[in-house]
Amino acid sequence: MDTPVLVTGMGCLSACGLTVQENMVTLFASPVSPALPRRFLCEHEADYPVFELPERFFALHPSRAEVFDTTIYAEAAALEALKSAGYAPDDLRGHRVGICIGTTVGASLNFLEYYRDYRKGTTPDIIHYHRFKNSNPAQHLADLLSTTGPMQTVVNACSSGTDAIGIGAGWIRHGLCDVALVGGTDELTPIAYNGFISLHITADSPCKPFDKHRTGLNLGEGAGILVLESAYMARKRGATTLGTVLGYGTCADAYHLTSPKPGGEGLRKAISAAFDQSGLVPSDIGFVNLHGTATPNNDVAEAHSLAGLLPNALLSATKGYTGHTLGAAGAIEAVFTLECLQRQWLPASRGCETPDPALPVSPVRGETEVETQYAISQSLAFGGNNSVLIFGRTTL
Amino acid sequence: MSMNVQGIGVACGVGCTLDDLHAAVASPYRPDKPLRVDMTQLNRFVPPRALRRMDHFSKLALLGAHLALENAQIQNAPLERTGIIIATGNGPTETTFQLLEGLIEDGASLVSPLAFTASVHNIPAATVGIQLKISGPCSTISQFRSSVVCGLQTATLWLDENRVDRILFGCVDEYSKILHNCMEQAGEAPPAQGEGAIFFLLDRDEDGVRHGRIESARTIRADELRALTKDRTVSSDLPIELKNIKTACHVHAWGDMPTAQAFDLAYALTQPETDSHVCLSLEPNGRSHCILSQKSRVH
Repeated sequence: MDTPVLVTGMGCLSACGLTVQENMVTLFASPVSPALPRRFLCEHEADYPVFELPERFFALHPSRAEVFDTTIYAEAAALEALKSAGYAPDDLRGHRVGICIGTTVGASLNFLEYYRDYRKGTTPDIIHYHRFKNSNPAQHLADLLSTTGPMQTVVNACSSGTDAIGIGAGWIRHGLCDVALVGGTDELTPIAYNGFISLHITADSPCKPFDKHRTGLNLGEGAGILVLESAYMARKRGATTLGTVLGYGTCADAYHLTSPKPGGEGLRKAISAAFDQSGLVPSDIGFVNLHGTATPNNDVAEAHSLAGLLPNALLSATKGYTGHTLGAAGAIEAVFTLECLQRQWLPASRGCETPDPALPVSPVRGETEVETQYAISQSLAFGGNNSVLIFGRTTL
Repeated sequence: MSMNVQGIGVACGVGCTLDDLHAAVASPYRPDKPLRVDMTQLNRFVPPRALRRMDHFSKLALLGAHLALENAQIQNAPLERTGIIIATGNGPTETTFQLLEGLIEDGASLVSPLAFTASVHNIPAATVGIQLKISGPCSTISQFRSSVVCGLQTATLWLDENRVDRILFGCVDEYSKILHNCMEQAGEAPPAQGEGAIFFLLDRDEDGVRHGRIESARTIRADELRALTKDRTVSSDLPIELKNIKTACHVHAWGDMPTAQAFDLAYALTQPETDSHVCLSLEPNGRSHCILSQKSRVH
């Protein structure tokens, strides 16, 4: 069993709200519905709704020409996380602070306007290039906070956020840094929006994870950031602990570029690796925050990988509240998992009204009380990545 | 803790062998146009059918991976407990612009699902995994010139955590005329733009070391460089002048790219004249990305 890593701060923004607290209120009391994108046009015959950040985010954090909104999301979540950990940004000076952030959009050449001008033969505005160079999320946060520890932008598609947390926890365990800001961030762009529609895995109505009538995912956007610290560091400064990262496992299917292996073998191997690190056994796990995209293939792979594996675990699917936030998803759901562990309650798995009888397991449909110290959050991704985190409720 | 380098696969504009790297450094020829990779070597390893729908970036990665396994002489060995890590400065650039071309030219409803999929940064690593049947941990890092050091840090971590016994670590960047256009506009274009893939097979096998060891990979402040480079041969991925530190730069030989530092590393591990080496990638903000290596005495 490896040394637990403490979570001492959290920040989160999604369609459900602009803070961790707002997100949890929405999850349990006032869910929002997806709608057509506000910031770009849906140019398809069918309407494909999305979960965008509330408009008031942009009033509080106006878009800036020099960086992607993805980076602004990461800044906002990171500052909330640091504040909740009891750190002012200046307090980080003198400590070895690592930054590990997952993203898809934040490291992509979203040069649509530049390319449009380039094709026309006019001189494109170089701001698009500078924006790309300024927006790499880990590098941007490291510059913003003047940190000197390891920094890494992980681009593992939809498991990026989960992987970034797992890697950052490893940095703490192995003494590479004293504090790590870890998580994921992604904004909605027309490129991702139209790309997912082209794959025929996007729903034209609110998504229905694990439901018999599921037709695909709704995209979303947001960011989730955790502050991780060693027990020594947290105790030294009297930090409040919000949970622990106990295990991380990741494993590729080596099967297909966009579909998970139907039997879920890769996910099982990732879960097994996370257990190896945590020292826990399957019966210890009280609930799982599923990837639960509501695509036919994802839900089949997840259901089959979990069937009979975790005898005491309830399942929870939260993308019916946030949409699929891609590189941010694993981090936002890590925040949800830790919050649900603290509250000992799970929200309803919104959208799952008629559980698919063809699937061997299904998530909770109503708000459900749990009694457990341990939970899993898992992510599946393009490329066949499967990544799993095991969280603990209490410090050890 | 250090990692052994048991295989190196190089695919760049000057050729697909380590000898080609050395010959390019020794040559007085200085290319003034983009150096592209001759991909015909890939046909030795992969049937054309499997390459039909693969983009150039993934092909580069696949070629580098096969060459590394060939160099390590384990092409046909089962690759259990093996991880894949790919570091890239910019990701699949040309495919991304193809995707944008389709979006602009054909409209949103006719976006190519193939181009969209291939534009996702971790697809090349997944392609390597699928083709080589490697089902271990698989990760991609994209962070401009710090990508190589970041990738090596994750490789070290995975070995420390006993997640894997060995890692196929690749560094890949492709030439893009449009990105080059951006760099020219920004005044950042190098005399010769390169592209390529370089893969290292890394492990901690105690029985033997083929090429040498990577002792550490880290990012430090510029004022720490002097101590770090003491008694070592130093090379940099960009032509720079450092006070009191003699630094070589070979990037003119294979062309510049964000992951050029990895080509320096391969060169350092295989040149006969020096044992201890530091490969640098320096950023204007003062961050210095450093790889310390030690060449094997039995080569």
